[in-house]
Amino acid sequence: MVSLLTVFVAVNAQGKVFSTQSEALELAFPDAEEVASNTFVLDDDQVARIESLAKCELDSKLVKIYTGMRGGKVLGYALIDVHNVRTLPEAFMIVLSPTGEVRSLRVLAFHEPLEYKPTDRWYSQFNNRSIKAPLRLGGDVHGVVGATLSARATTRGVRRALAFYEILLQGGN
Amino acid sequence: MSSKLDLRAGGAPLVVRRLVVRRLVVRWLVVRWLVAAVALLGCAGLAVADDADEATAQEDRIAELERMVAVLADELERTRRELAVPEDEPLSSKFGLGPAASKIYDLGRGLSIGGYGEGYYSNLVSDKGDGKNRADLLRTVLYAGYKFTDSILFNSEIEFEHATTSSTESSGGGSVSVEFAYLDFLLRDWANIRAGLVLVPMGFINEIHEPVSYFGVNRPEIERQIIPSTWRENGVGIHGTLYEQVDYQAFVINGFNAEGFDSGGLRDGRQQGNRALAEHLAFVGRLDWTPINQLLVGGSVYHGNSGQNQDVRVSGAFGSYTVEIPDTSTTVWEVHAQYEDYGLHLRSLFTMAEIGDSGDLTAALAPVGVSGGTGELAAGEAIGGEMLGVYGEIAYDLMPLFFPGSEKTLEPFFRYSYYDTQRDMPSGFSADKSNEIEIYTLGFSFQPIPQVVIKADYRNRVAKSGGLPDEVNLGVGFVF
Repeated sequence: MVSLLTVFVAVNAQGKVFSTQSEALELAFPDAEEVASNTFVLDDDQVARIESLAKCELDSKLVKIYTGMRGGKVLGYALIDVHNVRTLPEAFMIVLSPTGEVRSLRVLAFHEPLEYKPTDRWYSQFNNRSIKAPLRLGGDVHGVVGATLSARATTRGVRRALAFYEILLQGGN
Repeated sequence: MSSKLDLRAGGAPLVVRRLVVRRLVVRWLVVRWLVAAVALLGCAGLAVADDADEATAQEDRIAELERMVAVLADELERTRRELAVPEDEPLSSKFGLGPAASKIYDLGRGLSIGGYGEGYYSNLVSDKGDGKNRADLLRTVLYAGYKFTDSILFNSEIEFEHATTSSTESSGGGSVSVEFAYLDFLLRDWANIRAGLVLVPMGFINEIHEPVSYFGVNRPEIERQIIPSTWRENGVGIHGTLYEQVDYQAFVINGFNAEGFDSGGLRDGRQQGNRALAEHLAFVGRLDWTPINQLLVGGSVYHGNSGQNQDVRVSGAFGSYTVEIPDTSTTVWEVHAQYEDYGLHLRSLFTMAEIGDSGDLTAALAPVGVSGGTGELAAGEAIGGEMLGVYGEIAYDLMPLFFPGSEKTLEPFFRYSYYDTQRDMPSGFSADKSNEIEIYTLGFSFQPIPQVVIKADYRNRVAKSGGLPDEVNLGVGFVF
């Protein structure tokens, strides 16, 4: 138990009735009977492994992962990533399949001027990507004229989410 | 009672029996005490062992709680830091996120600060002439935006050029300018209204000119001379996105002031929002099509008169006279394309400008006195009726070849530029071939992080007539 505590602490683990979840979660898991959530408080070792895998720094040690369930089976996982684009934040919800591929990416909020926001089609290029993909802007991730910082921040957010899945849910090294 | 004692004592005298009994009692008491003591010690030992485990567990719990408190303290510190800039509602957790992360859901309004800057060192390496090597803090820029509501926001760019507005022994003063300042009324994805001092939506550079967004220490010369970046005028218009693939903009703005045109182009005809003459308005429209994420194809057109109904009174030793500035119909158009995929970058732009009344305008702006002009032009200088510019560039990011997965970029590039601001001349005037110029630029950009760029390039400039110095340029830039 003590060793488990040093690995992570689930400070809040509770199942919730699906009908009381937000619109975003409804869209993430339209077929779910239940959406459970786990909040992880990362230790230094986890932070280091996630940063290494995501190739970017974490600015928070708190991570919340939603799990869509139906009939006892996991339908997928969802995370909300909040990051600053310039000085104001963007938030997106990324939905992962049970095997860790991006199923969808939906922008929940974007508070910079909208001309810096990439198109929905641009965001959709992350679908079906997993942690195995390099996910490098200008490489396998196409850039956006005039929205480079937004595109870069989003690409990092996707890599973070995939690294959370790998380290926290799969226990990967 | 005594018989019983006798039996136990084995028939011993009474005193002896009493002593024996007393001894037995004492022994029994001692044994009992010892047993009790042992029991107590045993219990105590067990209790001590239990207490030790409990203490260890408590220490673990305390250590874990201390770690969690430290994490929460970090989060609160981050919250406090972020609150220093945006105005916000009282924080509360949403979606199970920490308060700092949650504030985005409450952020109905707020101040947005951004900016960029760039500086360079330029060494003239051939055909130096009277030119001097220079080091310049070219631009320091602050963006400030304010979101009043979800649908109404203000955005602006304030630029300091050349570090100071004071002149020095080395140079004239720099400037401080509002490069754009507008209100956006966001109605629908496909239709929004913008009003204020707006960037004229032409080419690549005029709207997006942070140093990390283009190759080379200097902006492409075509987008300085023919599309006079940074070109901003007062106006109102609409913009939006259609079918996720087409972006459009359409504005009515104050036109150029033709008094500023010269043989080098339209640059000094910009009014820049400063009590701009608006006798003649102009229209500018732009379309960008992104059929796939890697490809952008687009074009734009500007049309309007530039005369601004001006009658300029000229006085001097030769007497005085009035010069009428002709209407000067002005059309600028351009097409552009960009392709980016797996580290390859291709960009090209072609533009032309048509200046109506260029002969009359040249006469009107001719030197004062005998020539009867306003004196804006030098003797023999003429304004071209047609201007043309084109450039193409290629770059490739080498970093993934050496450091796969790195976010750093190292992009060598090459750009070819050609422009001629006197491609067609009004009758009676001949072109000055020093205005027909080719530029070969070879260099690289290195970005250690996405917001910072280090640049170096060599510019070989060739004019059809006369010499232009070649340059080795080193630059740094940042954006945030």
